[in-house]
Amino acid sequence: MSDAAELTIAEAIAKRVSPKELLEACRKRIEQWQPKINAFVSQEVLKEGGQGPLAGIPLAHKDMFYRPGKVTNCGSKIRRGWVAKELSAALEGLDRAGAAQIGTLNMSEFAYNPTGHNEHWGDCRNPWKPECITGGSSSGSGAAVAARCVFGALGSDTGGSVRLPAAANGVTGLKVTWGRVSRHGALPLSHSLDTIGPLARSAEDCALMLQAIAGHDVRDAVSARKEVPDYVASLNRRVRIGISRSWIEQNSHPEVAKALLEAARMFDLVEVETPNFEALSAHCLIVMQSEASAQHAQWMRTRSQDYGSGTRARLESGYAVPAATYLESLRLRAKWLEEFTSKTLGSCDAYFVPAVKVPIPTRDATGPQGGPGAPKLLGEVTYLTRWVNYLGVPAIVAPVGFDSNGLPIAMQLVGRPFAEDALLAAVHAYQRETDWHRRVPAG
Amino acid sequence: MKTTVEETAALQGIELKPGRAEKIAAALEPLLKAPDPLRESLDFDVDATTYLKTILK
Repeated sequence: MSDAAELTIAEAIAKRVSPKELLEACRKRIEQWQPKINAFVSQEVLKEGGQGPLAGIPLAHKDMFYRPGKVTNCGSKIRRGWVAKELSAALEGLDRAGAAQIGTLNMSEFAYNPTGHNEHWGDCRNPWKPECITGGSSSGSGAAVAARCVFGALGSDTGGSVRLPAAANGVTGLKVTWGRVSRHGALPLSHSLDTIGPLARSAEDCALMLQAIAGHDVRDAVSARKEVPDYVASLNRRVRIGISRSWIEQNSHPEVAKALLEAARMFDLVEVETPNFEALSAHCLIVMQSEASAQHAQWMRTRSQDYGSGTRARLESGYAVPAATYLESLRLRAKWLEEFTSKTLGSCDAYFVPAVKVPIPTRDATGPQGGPGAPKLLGEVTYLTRWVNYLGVPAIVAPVGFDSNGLPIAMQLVGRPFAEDALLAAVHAYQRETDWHRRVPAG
Repeated sequence: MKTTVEETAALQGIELKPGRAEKIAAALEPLLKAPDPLRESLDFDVDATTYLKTILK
């Protein structure tokens, strides 16, 4: 069956396509795409498929999830060849569900870059247009799923690292509520913000993957004891969406605004108050910089020359943030969460906004040689993702069209804490009526 | 502020790349001065752990 690689996980299960056939289809895609997009770090079968709801589904994951005896490089020179001793909780869940792991995927160094540039392992390239960014830090996850090399992939999201690659590559990505999925055995960056979530071809596939990885874990101190719903059974629930149409029109690139407002017409809408993106993003940066720089302090003292230039520059920034400022940002977090759930979400289940408010830029314009305009452009790319991590709420990203350059445009729906089911249901309803998520880049 | 950034990093054992202190100072200042309409009404008894109770409500 030549097109098995283009099925969704749900379709592959429903059609009872054999694991062998799925694996062969993925291998052909990898052979075709890897030289063009550099999405894979390794193509080793790290886990054979087993029995369970994801039996034999070929997945690969960002190279930051630990598996005993296997190398986890974390996109870095410092951890190149590092062999993990324990199994990450997220991989454990997918193993239990019977999924196969057929490789590890490229990523930004230590998950600390929003574009997918990597000085040590080579940039991951966008399958829709290789000169453009994949988004990061889960760059290989977005590119490999978009090119149909794997059926789904894990990523991590601290400031947008699942959602930016999902948006730039035209796939569906879910940033979960802080505490919904255990971070045990995954590379840490910023403990108050880090989350782990799936990138896949549809909301339904994200639901299947989330079902396997969500739940309490005593090995992650902030893992929530909240009950895990049946995400697949919840896919047909009705959801009301809040939107600020005028904000989208006035603040997004015209092509992005047009695609977003067209997509919004598919939902049951209510006009709502726009969140204070500026204040929330500033708090997110203060928390992220402080925690990431503390996490890396010892290597920064002894091996700073082994970091890529961009990563080192980001880490250097965190040592100048006053401790009282960092802790005040954390003190204000509860108040901002209450403000968002009571005001923006007061009359709806989710807030609708672009994932990225500008067209996906080139690697040259946003990389180390990007020139004086690069910081502003990067700020625009990440403007609508960081605020979500500060609040700790879930968000989903899915494609809604393409710009005139042929790059995907994506919507983002942001929900209440632990209401991933509402977000998945909203996008599932949209994807039943549209086919943007089925578009595949030309090989 | 440039000197302060360099000295603060040095006190933590971190050597900044040449020319970085000025850039860090320029990027940090708007973050530290970012207006927050909720700051004034923040209760004294709130601490960083209050967020955990709020998100689990």
